[in-house]
Amino acid sequence: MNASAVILREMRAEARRPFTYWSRVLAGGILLFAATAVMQGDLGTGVGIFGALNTLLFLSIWIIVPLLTADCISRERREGTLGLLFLTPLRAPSIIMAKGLVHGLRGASYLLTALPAIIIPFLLGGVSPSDLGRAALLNFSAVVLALSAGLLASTFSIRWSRAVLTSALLSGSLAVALPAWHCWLLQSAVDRLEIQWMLLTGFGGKWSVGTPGALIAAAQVSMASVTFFILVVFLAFFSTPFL
Amino acid sequence: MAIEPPVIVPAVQTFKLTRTYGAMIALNALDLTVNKGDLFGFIGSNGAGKTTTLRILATFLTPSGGTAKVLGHDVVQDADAVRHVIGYMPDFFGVYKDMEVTEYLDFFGACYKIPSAQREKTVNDVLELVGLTEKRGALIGALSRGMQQRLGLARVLIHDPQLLLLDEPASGLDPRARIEMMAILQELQRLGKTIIISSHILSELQTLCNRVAIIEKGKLIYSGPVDGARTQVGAGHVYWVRVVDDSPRAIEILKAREEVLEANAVDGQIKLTLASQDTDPSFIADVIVKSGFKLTGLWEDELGLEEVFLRVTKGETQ
Ligand SMILES: Nc1ncnc2c1ncn2[C@@H]1O[C@H](COP(=O)(O)OP(=O)(O)OP(=O)(O)O)[C@@H](O)[C@H]1O
Ligand SMILES: [Mg+2]
Repeated sequence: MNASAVILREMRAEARRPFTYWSRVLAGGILLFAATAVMQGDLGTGVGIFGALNTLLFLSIWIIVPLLTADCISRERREGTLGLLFLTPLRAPSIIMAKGLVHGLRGASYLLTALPAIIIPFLLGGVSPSDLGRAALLNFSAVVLALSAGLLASTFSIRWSRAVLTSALLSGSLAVALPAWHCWLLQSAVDRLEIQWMLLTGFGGKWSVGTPGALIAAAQVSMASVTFFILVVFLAFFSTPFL
Repeated sequence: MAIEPPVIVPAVQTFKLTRTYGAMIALNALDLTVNKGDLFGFIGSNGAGKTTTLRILATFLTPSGGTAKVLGHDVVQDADAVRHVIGYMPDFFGVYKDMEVTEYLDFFGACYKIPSAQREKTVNDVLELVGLTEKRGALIGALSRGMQQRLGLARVLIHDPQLLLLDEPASGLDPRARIEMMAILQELQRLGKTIIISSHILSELQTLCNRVAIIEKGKLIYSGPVDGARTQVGAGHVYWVRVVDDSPRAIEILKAREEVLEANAVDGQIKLTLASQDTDPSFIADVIVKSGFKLTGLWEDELGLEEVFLRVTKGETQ
Protein backbone atom coordinates (compact mmCIF):
# COMPACT_ATOMS: atom_id res chain seq x y z
CA MET A 1 0.00 0.00 0.00
CA ASN A 2 1.45 3.33 -1.02
CA ALA A 3 -1.03 5.58 0.69
CA SER A 4 1.63 8.14 1.54
CA ALA A 5 1.35 9.82 -1.85
CA VAL A 6 -2.38 10.37 -1.33
CA ILE A 7 -1.84 11.56 2.24
CA LEU A 8 0.67 14.18 1.12
CA ARG A 9 -1.50 15.33 -1.74
CA GLU A 10 -4.57 15.58 0.43
CA MET A 11 -2.76 17.54 3.15
CA ARG A 12 -1.35 19.95 0.61
CA ALA A 13 -4.75 20.47 -0.98
CA GLU A 14 -6.38 21.07 2.40
CA ALA A 15 -3.65 23.47 3.44
CA ARG A 16 -4.34 25.53 0.33
CA ARG A 17 -8.05 25.77 0.98
CA PRO A 18 -8.81 29.08 2.72
CA PHE A 19 -11.85 27.44 4.30
CA THR A 20 -9.59 25.20 6.38
CA TYR A 21 -7.96 28.15 8.07
CA TRP A 22 -11.09 30.23 8.59
CA SER A 23 -13.23 27.39 9.90
CA ARG A 24 -10.58 26.67 12.51
CA VAL A 25 -10.43 30.29 13.58
CA LEU A 26 -14.21 30.30 13.74
CA ALA A 27 -14.40 27.11 15.81
CA GLY A 28 -11.79 28.35 18.28
CA GLY A 29 -13.54 31.71 18.51
CA ILE A 30 -16.96 30.19 19.18
CA LEU A 31 -15.61 27.96 21.90
CA LEU A 32 -13.75 30.82 23.62
CA PHE A 33 -16.86 32.96 23.43
CA ALA A 34 -18.93 30.11 24.85
CA ALA A 35 -16.37 29.64 27.60
CA THR A 36 -16.66 33.23 28.76
CA ALA A 37 -20.46 33.11 28.46
CA VAL A 38 -20.62 29.89 30.42
CA MET A 39 -18.36 31.21 33.14
CA GLN A 40 -20.56 34.25 33.63
CA GLY A 41 -23.60 32.01 33.95
CA ASP A 42 -24.67 30.14 37.03
CA LEU A 43 -23.05 26.81 36.47
CA GLY A 44 -20.81 26.96 39.47
CA THR A 45 -17.15 26.36 39.02
CA GLY A 46 -15.11 23.48 37.70
CA VAL A 47 -17.24 20.47 36.83
CA GLY A 48 -20.27 22.46 35.67
CA ILE A 49 -18.35 24.65 33.26
CA PHE A 50 -16.28 21.76 32.04
CA GLY A 51 -19.40 19.75 31.34
CA ALA A 52 -21.04 22.55 29.40
CA LEU A 53 -17.99 23.21 27.24
CA ASN A 54 -17.35 19.55 26.67
CA THR A 55 -20.95 19.10 25.53
CA LEU A 56 -20.54 21.92 23.05
CA LEU A 57 -17.36 20.34 21.72
CA PHE A 58 -18.89 16.86 21.58
CA LEU A 59 -21.90 18.18 19.72
CA SER A 60 -19.84 20.16 17.22
CA ILE A 61 -17.73 17.11 16.37
CA TRP A 62 -20.81 15.31 15.03
CA ILE A 63 -21.57 18.29 12.84
CA ILE A 64 -18.18 19.55 11.69
CA VAL A 65 -16.27 16.32 11.01
CA PRO A 66 -18.83 14.68 8.68
CA LEU A 67 -19.28 17.98 6.88
CA LEU A 68 -15.54 18.19 6.23
CA THR A 69 -15.26 14.57 5.14
CA ALA A 70 -18.50 13.99 3.24
CA ASP A 71 -17.26 15.20 -0.13
CA CYS A 72 -13.68 13.92 -0.07
CA ILE A 73 -14.28 10.89 -2.31
CA SER A 74 -17.52 11.84 -4.03
CA ARG A 75 -15.83 15.00 -5.23
CA GLU A 76 -13.03 13.03 -6.90
CA ARG A 77 -15.60 10.78 -8.52
CA ARG A 78 -17.62 13.78 -9.68
CA GLU A 79 -14.62 15.57 -11.13
CA GLY A 80 -13.23 12.45 -12.79
CA THR A 81 -9.98 12.28 -10.88
CA LEU A 82 -10.69 9.06 -8.99
CA GLY A 83 -10.54 6.74 -12.00
CA LEU A 84 -7.04 7.92 -12.84
CA LEU A 85 -5.90 6.83 -9.39
CA PHE A 86 -7.14 3.30 -10.02
CA LEU A 87 -4.92 3.09 -13.09
CA THR A 88 -1.94 3.28 -10.73
CA PRO A 89 -1.18 0.48 -8.25
CA LEU A 90 -3.32 2.36 -5.70
CA ARG A 91 -6.40 0.46 -4.49
CA ALA A 92 -9.56 1.53 -2.74
CA PRO A 93 -8.47 0.70 0.86
CA SER A 94 -5.28 2.79 0.57
CA ILE A 95 -7.25 5.72 -0.78
CA ILE A 96 -9.92 5.48 1.94
CA MET A 97 -7.29 5.01 4.66
CA ALA A 98 -5.29 7.98 3.44
CA LYS A 99 -8.32 10.23 3.26
CA GLY A 100 -9.53 8.98 6.63
CA LEU A 101 -6.18 9.76 8.19
CA VAL A 102 -5.92 13.26 6.76
CA HIS A 103 -9.48 14.21 7.67
CA GLY A 104 -9.05 12.55 11.05
CA LEU A 105 -6.08 14.85 11.62
CA ARG A 106 -8.21 17.79 10.62
CA GLY A 107 -10.84 16.70 13.13
CA ALA A 108 -8.14 16.37 15.75
CA SER A 109 -6.94 19.86 14.99
CA TYR A 110 -10.42 21.12 15.90
CA LEU A 111 -10.08 19.32 19.20
CA LEU A 112 -6.81 21.15 19.70
CA THR A 113 -8.37 24.55 19.05
CA ALA A 114 -10.84 23.68 21.79
CA LEU A 115 -8.11 22.75 24.24
CA PRO A 116 -7.47 26.24 25.69
CA ALA A 117 -11.17 26.74 26.40
CA ILE A 118 -11.51 23.34 28.02
CA ILE A 119 -8.39 23.79 30.10
CA ILE A 120 -9.76 26.89 31.92
CA PRO A 121 -12.35 25.06 34.04
CA PHE A 122 -9.79 22.36 34.69
CA LEU A 123 -7.57 25.01 36.25
CA LEU A 124 -10.53 26.31 38.26
CA GLY A 125 -10.57 22.97 40.03
CA GLY A 126 -13.06 20.20 40.56
CA VAL A 127 -12.24 18.26 37.41
CA SER A 128 -10.02 15.28 38.02
CA PRO A 129 -7.36 14.04 35.57
CA SER A 130 -9.43 10.89 35.14
CA ASP A 131 -12.40 13.04 34.03
CA LEU A 132 -10.16 14.70 31.52
CA GLY A 133 -8.94 11.31 30.29
CA ARG A 134 -12.50 10.09 29.86
CA ALA A 135 -13.49 13.22 28.00
CA ALA A 136 -10.49 12.83 25.69
CA LEU A 137 -11.32 9.17 24.97
CA LEU A 138 -15.00 9.87 24.32
CA ASN A 139 -14.29 12.85 22.09
CA PHE A 140 -11.77 10.75 20.21
CA SER A 141 -14.48 8.12 19.66
CA ALA A 142 -16.82 10.80 18.43
CA VAL A 143 -14.21 12.00 15.91
CA VAL A 144 -13.55 8.46 14.66
CA LEU A 145 -17.25 7.65 14.31
CA ALA A 146 -18.13 10.96 12.70
CA LEU A 147 -15.21 10.43 10.32
CA SER A 148 -16.48 6.96 9.42
CA ALA A 149 -19.92 8.43 8.76
CA GLY A 150 -18.45 11.04 6.40
CA LEU A 151 -16.23 8.54 4.57
CA LEU A 152 -18.99 5.99 4.19
CA ALA A 153 -21.37 8.59 2.81
CA SER A 154 -18.71 9.86 0.43
CA THR A 155 -17.86 6.40 -0.89
CA PHE A 156 -21.42 5.76 -1.98
CA SER A 157 -22.27 9.18 -3.39
CA ILE A 158 -21.44 11.28 -6.37
CA ARG A 159 -23.44 14.43 -5.78
CA TRP A 160 -22.30 16.81 -3.07
CA SER A 161 -25.79 17.26 -1.65
CA ARG A 162 -26.35 13.52 -1.36
CA ALA A 163 -22.98 12.96 0.27
CA VAL A 164 -23.61 15.66 2.85
CA LEU A 165 -27.16 14.53 3.57
CA THR A 166 -26.18 10.87 3.96
CA SER A 167 -23.27 11.75 6.20
CA ALA A 168 -25.53 13.92 8.36
CA LEU A 169 -28.02 11.05 8.71
CA LEU A 170 -25.31 8.53 9.52
CA SER A 171 -23.61 10.87 11.91
CA GLY A 172 -26.91 11.63 13.62
CA SER A 173 -27.65 7.95 14.12
CA LEU A 174 -24.20 7.32 15.54
CA ALA A 175 -24.56 10.31 17.84
CA VAL A 176 -27.60 8.57 19.32
CA ALA A 177 -26.14 5.09 19.32
CA LEU A 178 -22.87 5.99 21.02
CA PRO A 179 -24.32 7.48 24.23
CA ALA A 180 -26.86 4.67 24.47
CA TRP A 181 -24.19 2.07 24.24
CA HIS A 182 -21.95 3.96 26.63
CA CYS A 183 -24.76 4.00 29.18
CA TRP A 184 -25.34 0.32 28.72
CA LEU A 185 -21.62 -0.29 29.36
CA LEU A 186 -21.90 1.70 32.57
CA GLN A 187 -24.78 -0.60 33.51
CA SER A 188 -27.14 2.30 33.95
CA ALA A 189 -29.69 1.75 31.25
CA VAL A 190 -31.23 5.16 30.74
CA ASP A 191 -33.63 5.45 27.87
CA ARG A 192 -33.75 9.22 27.69
CA LEU A 193 -31.23 10.59 25.23
CA GLU A 194 -30.51 13.84 27.04
CA ILE A 195 -29.60 11.94 30.20
CA GLN A 196 -27.40 9.59 28.19
CA TRP A 197 -25.67 12.62 26.72
CA MET A 198 -25.27 14.19 30.15
CA LEU A 199 -23.58 11.05 31.40
CA LEU A 200 -21.33 11.07 28.38
CA THR A 201 -20.33 14.71 28.41
CA GLY A 202 -20.77 15.72 32.03
CA PHE A 203 -23.38 18.34 31.19
CA GLY A 204 -25.12 19.88 34.19
CA GLY A 205 -22.43 18.43 36.44
CA LYS A 206 -23.82 14.95 35.79
CA TRP A 207 -20.34 13.57 35.51
CA SER A 208 -20.34 9.93 36.32
CA VAL A 209 -17.25 10.24 38.48
CA GLY A 210 -17.36 7.56 41.06
CA THR A 211 -19.34 5.28 38.74
CA PRO A 212 -17.23 2.14 38.70
CA GLY A 213 -15.61 1.38 35.39
CA ALA A 214 -16.24 4.79 33.82
CA LEU A 215 -12.76 5.06 32.38
CA ILE A 216 -12.89 1.47 31.18
CA ALA A 217 -16.21 2.11 29.45
CA ALA A 218 -14.70 5.10 27.67
CA ALA A 219 -11.77 2.99 26.53
CA GLN A 220 -14.14 0.28 25.28
CA VAL A 221 -16.12 2.85 23.35
CA SER A 222 -12.90 4.12 21.75
CA MET A 223 -11.82 0.67 20.72
CA ALA A 224 -15.22 -0.09 19.23
CA SER A 225 -15.10 3.15 17.26
CA VAL A 226 -11.74 2.27 15.78
CA THR A 227 -13.07 -1.17 14.84
CA PHE A 228 -16.03 0.50 13.19
CA PHE A 229 -13.67 2.69 11.17
CA ILE A 230 -11.71 -0.35 9.97
CA LEU A 231 -14.98 -1.99 8.96
CA VAL A 232 -15.84 1.08 6.91
CA VAL A 233 -12.51 0.84 5.09
CA PHE A 234 -13.23 -2.80 4.26
CA LEU A 235 -16.71 -1.95 3.08
CA ALA A 236 -15.24 0.68 0.80
CA PHE A 237 -12.93 -1.96 -0.62
CA PHE A 238 -15.90 -3.92 -1.91
CA SER A 239 -17.53 -0.88 -3.39
CA THR A 240 -14.44 -0.27 -5.60
CA PRO A 241 -15.72 3.00 -6.95
CA PHE A 242 -14.61 3.41 -10.52
CA LEU A 243 -14.77 6.40 -12.90
CA MET B 1 18.04 -29.23 -31.40
CA ALA B 2 15.52 -27.18 -33.29
CA ILE B 3 15.56 -23.46 -32.75
CA GLU B 4 12.09 -22.16 -32.11
CA PRO B 5 11.14 -19.01 -33.96
CA PRO B 6 10.69 -16.04 -31.62
CA VAL B 7 7.06 -15.50 -30.68
CA ILE B 8 6.03 -11.98 -31.57
CA VAL B 9 3.48 -10.75 -29.07
CA PRO B 10 1.18 -8.11 -30.56
CA ALA B 11 0.62 -4.96 -28.52
CA VAL B 12 -3.12 -5.57 -28.56
CA GLN B 13 -5.08 -8.58 -29.63
CA THR B 14 -8.79 -8.99 -29.14
CA PHE B 15 -10.77 -12.07 -29.96
CA LYS B 16 -14.53 -11.80 -30.46
CA LEU B 17 -14.56 -8.95 -27.98
CA THR B 18 -18.15 -8.15 -27.05
CA ARG B 19 -19.75 -5.70 -24.68
CA THR B 20 -23.45 -5.25 -24.12
CA TYR B 21 -25.43 -2.72 -22.14
CA GLY B 22 -28.74 -4.42 -21.50
CA ALA B 23 -30.12 -5.25 -24.93
CA MET B 24 -27.78 -2.81 -26.63
CA ILE B 25 -24.67 -4.29 -28.22
CA ALA B 26 -21.90 -1.72 -27.97
CA LEU B 27 -19.18 -4.05 -29.23
CA ASN B 28 -19.96 -6.96 -31.47
CA ALA B 29 -17.31 -9.72 -31.69
CA LEU B 30 -14.42 -7.38 -32.43
CA ASP B 31 -11.22 -8.99 -33.66
CA LEU B 32 -8.49 -6.42 -33.55
CA THR B 33 -4.71 -6.71 -33.73
CA VAL B 34 -2.31 -3.86 -33.13
CA ASN B 35 1.37 -4.54 -33.62
CA LYS B 36 4.17 -3.18 -31.49
CA GLY B 37 5.43 0.16 -32.72
CA ASP B 38 2.20 1.00 -34.53
CA LEU B 39 0.66 4.42 -34.45
CA PHE B 40 -2.82 3.06 -34.79
CA GLY B 41 -5.85 5.16 -35.68
CA PHE B 42 -9.20 4.07 -34.35
CA ILE B 43 -12.05 5.55 -36.34
CA GLY B 44 -15.80 5.37 -35.99
CA SER B 45 -18.88 7.57 -35.82
CA ASN B 46 -20.45 8.67 -32.54
CA GLY B 47 -21.46 5.61 -30.57
CA ALA B 48 -19.49 3.20 -32.76
CA GLY B 49 -17.75 1.70 -29.72
CA LYS B 50 -14.32 3.36 -29.68
CA THR B 51 -14.45 4.49 -26.08
CA THR B 52 -15.92 1.15 -25.03
CA THR B 53 -13.01 -0.70 -26.66
CA LEU B 54 -10.38 1.56 -25.13
CA ARG B 55 -11.97 1.31 -21.67
CA ILE B 56 -11.91 -2.47 -21.88
CA LEU B 57 -8.25 -2.41 -22.92
CA ALA B 58 -7.54 -0.05 -20.01
CA THR B 59 -9.24 -2.53 -17.60
CA PHE B 60 -11.92 0.03 -16.74
CA LEU B 61 -14.70 -2.07 -18.15
CA THR B 62 -15.11 -5.83 -18.27
CA PRO B 63 -16.09 -7.44 -21.56
CA SER B 64 -19.38 -9.34 -21.78
CA GLY B 65 -17.74 -11.87 -24.05
CA GLY B 66 -14.53 -12.66 -25.90
CA THR B 67 -11.02 -11.85 -24.75
CA ALA B 68 -8.57 -9.01 -25.01
CA LYS B 69 -4.85 -9.19 -24.45
CA VAL B 70 -2.49 -6.28 -23.99
CA LEU B 71 1.15 -7.17 -24.57
CA GLY B 72 0.26 -10.75 -23.76
CA HIS B 73 -1.65 -10.01 -20.55
CA ASP B 74 -5.35 -10.73 -20.33
CA VAL B 75 -7.30 -7.60 -19.40
CA VAL B 76 -9.57 -9.48 -17.00
CA GLN B 77 -7.34 -12.12 -15.43
CA ASP B 78 -4.18 -10.06 -15.38
CA ALA B 79 -5.52 -6.53 -14.95
CA ASP B 80 -2.70 -5.35 -12.67
CA ALA B 81 -0.05 -6.34 -15.21
CA VAL B 82 -2.01 -4.58 -17.95
CA ARG B 83 -2.29 -1.35 -15.94
CA HIS B 84 1.44 -1.42 -15.48
CA VAL B 85 2.24 -1.39 -19.20
CA ILE B 86 -0.44 1.00 -20.45
CA GLY B 87 -1.00 4.71 -20.26
CA TYR B 88 -4.67 5.54 -20.68
CA MET B 89 -5.99 9.00 -21.39
CA PRO B 90 -9.82 8.97 -21.21
CA ASP B 91 -11.93 11.24 -23.43
CA PHE B 92 -12.95 13.18 -20.33
CA PHE B 93 -10.78 13.28 -17.26
CA GLY B 94 -10.43 15.53 -14.26
CA VAL B 95 -7.35 17.19 -12.87
CA TYR B 96 -6.62 18.44 -9.38
CA LYS B 97 -7.03 22.13 -10.04
CA ASP B 98 -5.44 23.11 -6.74
CA MET B 99 -2.10 21.48 -7.53
CA GLU B 100 0.91 22.79 -9.39
CA VAL B 101 1.97 21.08 -12.61
CA THR B 102 5.10 19.47 -11.16
CA GLU B 103 3.31 18.48 -7.95
CA TYR B 104 0.65 16.74 -10.00
CA LEU B 105 3.13 14.70 -12.01
CA ASP B 106 5.22 13.99 -8.94
CA PHE B 107 2.09 12.73 -7.19
CA PHE B 108 1.34 10.26 -9.98
CA GLY B 109 5.00 9.25 -10.05
CA ALA B 110 4.70 8.44 -6.35
CA CYS B 111 1.48 6.49 -6.95
CA TYR B 112 3.39 4.42 -9.51
CA LYS B 113 6.08 3.89 -6.86
CA ILE B 114 8.84 5.59 -8.83
CA PRO B 115 11.68 6.20 -6.33
CA SER B 116 11.71 9.83 -5.24
CA ALA B 117 15.35 10.30 -6.33
CA GLN B 118 14.36 9.42 -9.88
CA ARG B 119 11.04 11.23 -9.92
CA GLU B 120 12.30 14.75 -10.44
CA LYS B 121 14.16 13.79 -13.57
CA THR B 122 11.21 11.82 -14.92
CA VAL B 123 8.87 14.75 -14.32
CA ASN B 124 11.27 17.14 -16.09
CA ASP B 125 11.62 14.76 -19.02
CA VAL B 126 7.90 14.34 -19.65
CA LEU B 127 7.30 18.07 -19.21
CA GLU B 128 9.91 18.71 -21.84
CA LEU B 129 8.40 16.13 -24.15
CA VAL B 130 4.92 17.63 -24.04
CA GLY B 131 6.25 21.19 -24.09
CA LEU B 132 5.04 22.27 -20.67
CA THR B 133 8.39 23.09 -19.10
CA GLU B 134 7.57 26.79 -18.92
CA LYS B 135 4.38 26.07 -16.98
CA ARG B 136 5.97 23.78 -14.41
CA GLY B 137 5.14 26.01 -11.48
CA ALA B 138 1.66 27.01 -12.62
CA LEU B 139 -1.55 26.02 -10.84
CA ILE B 140 -3.39 23.47 -12.95
CA GLY B 141 -6.66 25.35 -12.59
CA ALA B 142 -5.03 28.25 -14.40
CA LEU B 143 -3.96 26.20 -17.44
CA SER B 144 -5.84 26.43 -20.73
CA ARG B 145 -7.75 23.44 -22.05
CA GLY B 146 -4.98 22.56 -24.47
CA MET B 147 -2.36 22.72 -21.75
CA GLN B 148 -4.45 20.53 -19.46
CA GLN B 149 -4.68 18.07 -22.33
CA ARG B 150 -0.90 18.10 -22.61
CA LEU B 151 -0.65 17.62 -18.90
CA GLY B 152 -2.93 14.60 -19.29
CA LEU B 153 -0.50 13.23 -21.85
CA ALA B 154 2.43 13.90 -19.53
CA ARG B 155 0.62 12.01 -16.78
CA VAL B 156 0.11 9.06 -19.08
CA LEU B 157 3.84 8.97 -19.78
CA ILE B 158 5.10 9.25 -16.21
CA HIS B 159 5.60 5.51 -15.65
CA ASP B 160 7.05 4.98 -19.12
CA PRO B 161 4.33 2.63 -20.43
CA GLN B 162 4.82 0.71 -23.67
CA LEU B 163 1.29 1.19 -24.94
CA LEU B 164 -0.63 4.45 -25.00
CA LEU B 165 -4.41 4.42 -25.28
CA LEU B 166 -5.55 7.91 -26.18
CA ASP B 167 -9.26 8.60 -26.48
CA GLU B 168 -9.66 11.66 -28.68
CA PRO B 169 -6.64 13.46 -27.26
CA ALA B 170 -6.99 16.32 -29.72
CA SER B 171 -10.65 17.09 -29.06
CA GLY B 172 -11.22 20.65 -28.01
CA LEU B 173 -7.81 21.81 -29.17
CA ASP B 174 -7.26 24.63 -31.62
CA PRO B 175 -5.61 23.77 -34.96
CA ARG B 176 -2.14 24.74 -33.82
CA ALA B 177 -2.41 22.78 -30.59
CA ARG B 178 -3.68 19.81 -32.58
CA ILE B 179 -0.74 19.87 -34.93
CA GLU B 180 1.59 20.12 -31.96
CA MET B 181 -0.15 17.20 -30.27
CA MET B 182 0.29 15.13 -33.43
CA ALA B 183 3.98 16.03 -33.55
CA ILE B 184 4.35 14.85 -29.95
CA LEU B 185 2.68 11.55 -30.83
CA GLN B 186 5.04 11.06 -33.75
CA GLU B 187 7.98 11.71 -31.46
CA LEU B 188 6.59 9.14 -29.03
CA GLN B 189 6.29 6.58 -31.80
CA ARG B 190 9.89 7.29 -32.71
CA LEU B 191 10.79 6.57 -29.08
CA GLY B 192 9.33 3.11 -29.57
CA LYS B 193 5.88 3.46 -28.04
CA THR B 194 2.83 1.79 -29.47
CA ILE B 195 -0.02 4.25 -29.68
CA ILE B 196 -3.72 3.76 -30.25
CA ILE B 197 -5.54 6.99 -30.88
CA SER B 198 -9.23 7.43 -31.45
CA SER B 199 -10.25 10.61 -33.13
CA HIS B 200 -12.79 12.31 -35.31
CA ILE B 201 -10.18 14.41 -37.06
CA LEU B 202 -9.60 11.98 -39.85
CA SER B 203 -7.44 14.08 -42.10
CA GLU B 204 -4.89 14.20 -39.32
CA LEU B 205 -4.98 10.48 -38.63
CA GLN B 206 -4.36 9.95 -42.33
CA THR B 207 -0.89 11.44 -42.24
CA LEU B 208 -0.16 10.46 -38.66
CA CYS B 209 -1.05 6.80 -38.47
CA ASN B 210 0.53 3.87 -40.24
CA ARG B 211 -2.50 1.67 -39.63
CA VAL B 212 -6.17 2.31 -39.00
CA ALA B 213 -9.25 0.41 -37.93
CA ILE B 214 -12.72 1.55 -38.82
CA ILE B 215 -15.61 0.39 -36.67
CA GLU B 216 -19.30 0.88 -37.07
CA LYS B 217 -22.02 -0.16 -34.62
CA GLY B 218 -19.49 -2.17 -32.65
CA LYS B 219 -18.31 -4.14 -35.69
CA LEU B 220 -14.93 -3.99 -37.32
CA ILE B 221 -15.24 -2.86 -40.92
CA TYR B 222 -11.64 -2.42 -41.86
CA SER B 223 -8.27 -2.87 -40.22
CA GLY B 224 -4.95 -2.38 -41.96
CA PRO B 225 -2.79 0.24 -43.66
CA VAL B 226 -4.37 3.57 -44.55
CA ASP B 227 -3.88 2.89 -48.28
CA GLY B 228 -5.65 -0.43 -48.02
CA ALA B 229 -8.73 1.33 -46.71
CA ARG B 230 -8.80 3.43 -49.88
CA THR B 231 -8.59 0.44 -52.20
CA GLN B 232 -11.25 -1.41 -50.26
CA VAL B 233 -13.82 1.29 -50.90
CA GLY B 234 -12.87 1.47 -54.58
CA ALA B 235 -10.85 4.63 -54.56
CA GLY B 236 -8.39 5.02 -57.40
CA HIS B 237 -10.96 5.17 -60.16
CA VAL B 238 -11.88 8.83 -59.86
CA TYR B 239 -9.97 11.29 -62.05
CA TRP B 240 -10.00 15.03 -62.55
CA VAL B 241 -9.69 16.66 -65.97
CA ARG B 242 -9.14 20.30 -66.83
CA VAL B 243 -9.62 21.64 -70.37
CA VAL B 244 -9.51 25.10 -71.90
CA ASP B 245 -13.01 26.32 -72.93
CA ASP B 246 -16.23 24.40 -73.57
CA SER B 247 -16.05 21.76 -70.88
CA PRO B 248 -19.77 20.85 -71.23
CA ARG B 249 -19.06 19.43 -74.68
CA ALA B 250 -16.00 17.59 -73.36
CA ILE B 251 -18.21 16.05 -70.69
CA GLU B 252 -20.64 14.87 -73.38
CA ILE B 253 -17.84 13.22 -75.31
CA LEU B 254 -16.41 11.53 -72.20
CA LYS B 255 -19.84 10.30 -71.12
CA ALA B 256 -20.24 8.59 -74.47
CA ARG B 257 -17.30 6.28 -73.66
CA GLU B 258 -18.22 2.95 -72.15
CA GLU B 259 -15.26 3.04 -69.69
CA VAL B 260 -16.79 6.10 -68.08
CA LEU B 261 -19.47 5.63 -65.43
CA GLU B 262 -20.03 9.26 -64.66
CA ALA B 263 -18.70 12.66 -65.65
CA ASN B 264 -19.73 16.04 -64.32
CA ALA B 265 -18.47 19.56 -63.85
CA VAL B 266 -17.22 20.48 -60.41
CA ASP B 267 -15.68 23.89 -59.77
CA GLY B 268 -14.83 24.41 -63.46
CA GLN B 269 -13.18 21.01 -63.67
CA ILE B 270 -14.44 17.65 -64.80
CA LYS B 271 -14.81 14.87 -62.26
CA LEU B 272 -14.65 11.50 -63.95
CA THR B 273 -15.64 8.20 -62.39
CA LEU B 274 -14.50 5.11 -64.29
CA ALA B 275 -16.65 2.03 -64.45
CA SER B 276 -13.86 -0.28 -63.38
CA GLN B 277 -10.80 0.05 -61.22
CA ASP B 278 -8.72 -1.90 -63.75
CA THR B 279 -9.25 0.49 -66.65
CA ASP B 280 -6.07 2.10 -68.00
CA PRO B 281 -6.74 5.82 -67.52
CA SER B 282 -4.47 6.88 -70.38
CA PHE B 283 -7.45 6.81 -72.79
CA ILE B 284 -8.80 9.97 -71.13
CA ALA B 285 -5.99 12.17 -72.44
CA ASP B 286 -6.28 10.50 -75.84
CA VAL B 287 -9.98 11.21 -76.22
CA ILE B 288 -9.71 14.81 -75.04
CA VAL B 289 -6.82 15.72 -77.31
CA LYS B 290 -8.20 13.89 -80.37
CA SER B 291 -11.51 15.76 -79.99
CA GLY B 292 -9.59 19.01 -80.37
CA PHE B 293 -9.58 20.24 -76.74
CA LYS B 294 -6.57 21.73 -75.00
CA LEU B 295 -5.85 19.49 -72.00
CA THR B 296 -4.31 21.47 -69.13
CA GLY B 297 -4.60 18.93 -66.34
CA LEU B 298 -5.30 15.28 -65.58
CA TRP B 299 -4.83 13.75 -62.16
CA GLU B 300 -6.04 10.97 -59.95
CA ASP B 301 -8.40 11.84 -57.14
CA GLU B 302 -6.68 11.66 -53.76
CA LEU B 303 -9.47 10.09 -51.81
CA GLY B 304 -9.01 11.30 -48.26
CA LEU B 305 -9.53 9.13 -45.25
CA GLU B 306 -12.51 11.26 -44.47
CA GLU B 307 -14.24 10.26 -47.69
CA VAL B 308 -13.20 6.65 -47.26
CA PHE B 309 -14.74 6.76 -43.84
CA LEU B 310 -17.97 8.28 -45.08
CA ARG B 311 -18.31 5.67 -47.80
CA VAL B 312 -17.58 2.77 -45.52
CA THR B 313 -19.87 3.76 -42.71
CA LYS B 314 -22.83 5.10 -44.68
CA GLY B 315 -23.25 7.68 -41.96
CA GLU B 316 -25.09 5.38 -39.60
CA THR B 317 -24.96 6.13 -35.93
CA GLN B 318 -26.66 4.25 -33.22
N1 LIG C 1 -22.75 3.18 -19.58
C1 LIG C 1 -23.45 2.92 -20.67
N2 LIG C 1 -24.72 2.50 -20.59
C2 LIG C 1 -25.44 2.24 -21.69
N3 LIG C 1 -24.97 2.36 -22.94
C3 LIG C 1 -23.73 2.77 -23.11
C4 LIG C 1 -22.88 3.08 -21.97
N4 LIG C 1 -21.68 3.47 -22.44
C5 LIG C 1 -21.76 3.42 -23.78
N5 LIG C 1 -22.98 2.99 -24.18
C6 LIG C 1 -23.42 2.80 -25.57
O1 LIG C 1 -22.45 2.03 -26.24
C7 LIG C 1 -22.26 2.50 -27.55
C8 LIG C 1 -20.81 2.74 -27.83
O2 LIG C 1 -20.40 3.87 -27.08
P1 LIG C 1 -18.92 4.45 -27.11
O3 LIG C 1 -18.83 5.47 -26.05
O4 LIG C 1 -17.96 3.34 -27.09
O5 LIG C 1 -18.89 5.16 -28.54
P2 LIG C 1 -17.73 6.01 -29.19
O6 LIG C 1 -17.34 5.34 -30.44
O7 LIG C 1 -16.66 6.31 -28.22
O8 LIG C 1 -18.51 7.34 -29.56
P3 LIG C 1 -18.02 8.88 -29.53
O9 LIG C 1 -17.38 9.13 -30.84
O10 LIG C 1 -19.32 9.63 -29.41
O11 LIG C 1 -17.14 9.07 -28.38
C9 LIG C 1 -23.12 3.74 -27.69
O12 LIG C 1 -24.28 3.41 -28.42
C10 LIG C 1 -23.48 4.12 -26.30
O13 LIG C 1 -24.78 4.65 -26.26
MG1 LIG D 1 -15.88 8.06 -27.35
